[in-house]
Amino acid sequence: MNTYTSNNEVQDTVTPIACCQAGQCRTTAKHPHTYRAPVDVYEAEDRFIVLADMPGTTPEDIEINVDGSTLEMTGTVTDRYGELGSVSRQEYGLGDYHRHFRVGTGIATEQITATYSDGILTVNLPKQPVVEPRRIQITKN
Amino acid sequence: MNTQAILTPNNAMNRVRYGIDRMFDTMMPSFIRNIGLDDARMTGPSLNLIENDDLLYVEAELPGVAMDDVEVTVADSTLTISGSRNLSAPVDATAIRQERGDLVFERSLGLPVQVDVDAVEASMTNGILRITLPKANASRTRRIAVTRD
Repeated sequence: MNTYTSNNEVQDTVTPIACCQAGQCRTTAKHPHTYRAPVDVYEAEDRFIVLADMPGTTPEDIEINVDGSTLEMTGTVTDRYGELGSVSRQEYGLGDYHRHFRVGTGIATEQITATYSDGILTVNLPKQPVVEPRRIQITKN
Repeated sequence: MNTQAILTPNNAMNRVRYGIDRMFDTMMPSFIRNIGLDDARMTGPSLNLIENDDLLYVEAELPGVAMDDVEVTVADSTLTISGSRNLSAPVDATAIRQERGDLVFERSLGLPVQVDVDAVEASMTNGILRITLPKANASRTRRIAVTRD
């Protein structure tokens, strides 16, 4: 049975508004606003789970990148109103979603998986199993 | 013009609230504003209206809301959307950060045109509720061809 370290961290370290102001977010003229998707983060024994509300995008339009200790999630929202007609009342804006996380060293970043359903992105971050010290038995010849 | 209705405190407050909501529109999407930090709160989803000559579309962002948990009614030119979302936590996991929440919502909207009530359709795709309301014949935009004498 694998055991896992207890001091792993999935920590939200960058607020998207700040990173957008710094020009790091990919915004286009068509979608000038990038929104901060609200997230829940859960910890289980063997993994962390990040759940993000990202309505109106698709699995193909979601990009998740791990660069060193940074996990970046981007959901692109394409204009779905143009083909319908003209917007006569707009109470919320359309735009892409973006979130940054700092990922602790205890995460097996190459094993991160994600699913998207009903407008919710679920990212699974498995923990690295701890390598237990192993005692080598010396046998007689 | 119904002056009395415009001057009622409730209407005035709604206009102020609408103005404040509009200010936040460019800062965050509707569902963030609508989901409270407490447990489920009664609140109305923000709506977008799109129209063409024949159809009126009303759209709301409702991530994680099952179609069975949404009720859409149209009566007397008023559209009402109500429902709830109950988030389920992953099994055997502890929350270490929570920005999302359960939601109970109800929102009514006076429709700008008469619609064919029997032909109204609603669908939920990727967390977006879209209601398609065909305009009643009397409300459709008719293009009149101008001919020479």
